[in-house]
Amino acid sequence: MKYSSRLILKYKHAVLHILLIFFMGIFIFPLFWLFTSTFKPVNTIFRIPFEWLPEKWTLENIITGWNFFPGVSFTRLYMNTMYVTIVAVVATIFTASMVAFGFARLNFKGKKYLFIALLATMMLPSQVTLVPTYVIFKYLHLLDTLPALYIGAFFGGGAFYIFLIRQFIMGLPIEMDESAQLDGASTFRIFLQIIFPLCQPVLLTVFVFSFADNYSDFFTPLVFLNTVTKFTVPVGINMFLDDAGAGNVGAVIAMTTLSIIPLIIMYFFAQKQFMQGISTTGLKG
Amino acid sequence: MLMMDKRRNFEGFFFIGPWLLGFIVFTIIPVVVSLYLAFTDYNFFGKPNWIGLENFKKLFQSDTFWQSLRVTFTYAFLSVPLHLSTALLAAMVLNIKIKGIGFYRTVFYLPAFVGNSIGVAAMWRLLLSNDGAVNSILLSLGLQKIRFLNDINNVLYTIILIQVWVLGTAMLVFLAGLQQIPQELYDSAKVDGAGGFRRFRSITLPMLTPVIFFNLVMGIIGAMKVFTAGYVIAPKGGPAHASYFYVIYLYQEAFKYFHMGYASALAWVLFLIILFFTLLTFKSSKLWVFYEVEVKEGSK
Repeated sequence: MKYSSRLILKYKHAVLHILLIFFMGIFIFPLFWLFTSTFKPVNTIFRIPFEWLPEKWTLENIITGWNFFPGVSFTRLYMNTMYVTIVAVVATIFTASMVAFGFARLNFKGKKYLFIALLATMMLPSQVTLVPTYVIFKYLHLLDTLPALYIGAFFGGGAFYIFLIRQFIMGLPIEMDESAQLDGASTFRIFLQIIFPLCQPVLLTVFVFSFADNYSDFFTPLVFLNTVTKFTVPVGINMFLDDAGAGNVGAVIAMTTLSIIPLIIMYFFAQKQFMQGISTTGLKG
Repeated sequence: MLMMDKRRNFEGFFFIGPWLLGFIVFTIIPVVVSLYLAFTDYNFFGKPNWIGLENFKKLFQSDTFWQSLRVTFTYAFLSVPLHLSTALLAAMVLNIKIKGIGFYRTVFYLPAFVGNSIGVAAMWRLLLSNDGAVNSILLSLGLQKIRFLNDINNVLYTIILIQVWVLGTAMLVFLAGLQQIPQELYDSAKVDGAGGFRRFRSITLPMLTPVIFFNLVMGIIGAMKVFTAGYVIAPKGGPAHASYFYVIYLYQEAFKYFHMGYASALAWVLFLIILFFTLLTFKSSKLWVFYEVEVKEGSK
């Protein structure tokens, strides 16, 4: 009886593995196709019968795509993107944890209402503030500049990250703060030397998500940038899709693949950490 | 004592200062200005003139407005349930303790992590175009081509189905929820002779309602704000505006035609719609959301 039930379990697991691998294949197929097509000669990409792996590997698509726009290579677009992303991520991590510390540990007038206001901003669709922000940026001379894309990060970088870090700080023992205070440490030192280093796990989560958010942000640069030399990769890809059309499908595929690779690297780099992070702290739309 | 309070306030406001300043400059002021602009003919280059309810009248008479609303609602009402049910199914399967489960979870979550990027939207466009990879596979198998993207009857449903691919975020939230359910409940239900479906209906589903509720709210809000998918997968809202989402309309009115007053009115209608559905979900939650952990949370 016991033996046969174990056998059934084993059989069930085998079926489960087969099912999971089957669906995993379907899930991975689009990316697999994109990556392999990058290295196929243009005329074989949509060949019938379908080609699973390139018969002849080539770097032609990447080279054509990289220098497709006259005067602006993708080197420029990646430099712009990396610059914006790095500044935004670093600024988010510092200002968001400062604000989170304020809400988690300090007492001040109106704190309760301000915290509710913070949470309420998560419900407000950014489209409501979009037009006035555009006008404000005009007066600040930020239209068609890269700082337009990261300036928000210097103001806490978004309610969600502040909330996430604040929840984490709330879980840290307050006794540490108190004993440091007795030893004469200032509030700023307590934040910088005790709380901030202890926040490392949640900050890694914030790092990963704000990297992905900023790196793949398409709407903001689409709205605020006009000059091609200032474009980030997402708007560059969009322009590529519009201009290149059917004639240069290979190059489009190659640039699309390259644009996803940094995200995938980031994913595998931090996968374990934030898989745990997200299942314990919950959310992220 | 008073000095202490003053110092405390100063320190508190110093730390939340960055956010507070941003909140005033980039939220409060824009919200007020946006509300004002919604009642003007502002076009970015001239001065705004007060025109009362004119924008809202125009909007309700615009076919494009109703079309974009129809597209967005169809998308929301089909994609959110589809998305949540597939994510729940995936979470339940990936909650089974078998070898390599961490690997499977990693793979199934990956699309959600990269899925917001334009690269992925471009990928779908290339895969599903008329001469795209999927159609070349269909032809190789001796089947007929499907016009996924350039048929006004298909394009929206194609975009809805694609959303299944990014089920990972909802799946992880469900997984976290599933792991909170005490195993004893299942064990004693088994002893009482409850079958698999019965256990799902009477234990899993009720215990997950807070998480379903959360995913539902996030799903609706997200669905009302879709932009990249509609703008990129089928170029600029698809053939005959068949996948012309609300935010695409708003974007084009504001930044292509610089009808900024009108676009502000559109933004406020969007806000009211989102508010309505969020409040509706919150109000209805009393009827179906089951909070077992309230006591535990409170004592924390």
